[in-house]
Amino acid sequence: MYIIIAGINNLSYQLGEGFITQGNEVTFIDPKQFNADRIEKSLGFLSILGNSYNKKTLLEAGINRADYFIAAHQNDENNLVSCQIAKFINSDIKVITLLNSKKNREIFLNDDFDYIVDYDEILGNSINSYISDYSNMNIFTDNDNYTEIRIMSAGTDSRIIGKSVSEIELPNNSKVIAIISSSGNISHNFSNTINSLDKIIFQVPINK
Amino acid sequence: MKISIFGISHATINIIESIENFSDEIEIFDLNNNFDFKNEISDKKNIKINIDQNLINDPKNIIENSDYVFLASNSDILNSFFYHKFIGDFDKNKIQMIILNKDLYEMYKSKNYSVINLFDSSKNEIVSTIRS
Repeated sequence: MYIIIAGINNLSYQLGEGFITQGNEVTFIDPKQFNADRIEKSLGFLSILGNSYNKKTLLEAGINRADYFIAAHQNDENNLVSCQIAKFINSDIKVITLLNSKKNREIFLNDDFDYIVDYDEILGNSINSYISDYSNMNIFTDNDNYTEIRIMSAGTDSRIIGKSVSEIELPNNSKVIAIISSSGNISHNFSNTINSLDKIIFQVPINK
Repeated sequence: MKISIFGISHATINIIESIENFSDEIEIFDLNNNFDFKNEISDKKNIKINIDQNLINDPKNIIENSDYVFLASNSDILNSFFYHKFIGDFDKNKIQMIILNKDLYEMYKSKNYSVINLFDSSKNEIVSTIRS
């Protein structure tokens, strides 16, 4: 596939690098020489200097034969116009835009845009996922036996989904007691993989 | 009748001269101040300049209480961005945006947007927009 990425930044760089590794052809468009140099040093001669809302720049990048156009600028006004002109030149191209501010979502809800990537949402989900993966709640402290009973939830985007209990990082010397599914079923079969919204109940020793 | 203009540019003065006789109040918005422009319009009455760097995040002040809106900055992408932000809440027949880039102008024209370009706009066209 041929993919044009408008805007060079950490996000688009990672994206482009991934596409290239998968065997795709990628061209970056950015108005800043500094950004183009960064691409040249690490990925090769893959960038065109110019504004991605300029028709001639897009034509030079090969917009007519491109399969995807990704607007990854860190301002929505640039992404908006770049996607519109890309789609105007090549109506078959799939247009993906980065949404930088939730307040601007409504301006991207039309046929010029095939997919909207919400930057805040990705960031929020990633943080939530991290917190739900690595936090667990104490539900009972047994002071006689110096143990705590804790519960860990698998959020909808949790990284523990699809893993078995033995693959999950639990506090040292923890013993899993049960897995409660979202429908309320209690399982003691710890070789099963964790599903979304499952809860893992486990015992962990505490200092005497 | 109140008319709002976003953007201080060469086009702004032309627009003001074309519409001042048909408007009770003209309010001009921009992200940055331009003192030459301020001096140039100092003899004109009923014109207010509103400089607000937060307009990008909160542009609705531009359309508030306005009968007509002109998007006349030197930046095509900003004019277009505000146009798209406003058409959900404001009659699109009462917004005009200036697009300097010919290719973008042709694209918006083909989409039936209210767009004017300095190559083919005239004072009469702007005036007729307001009077219609």
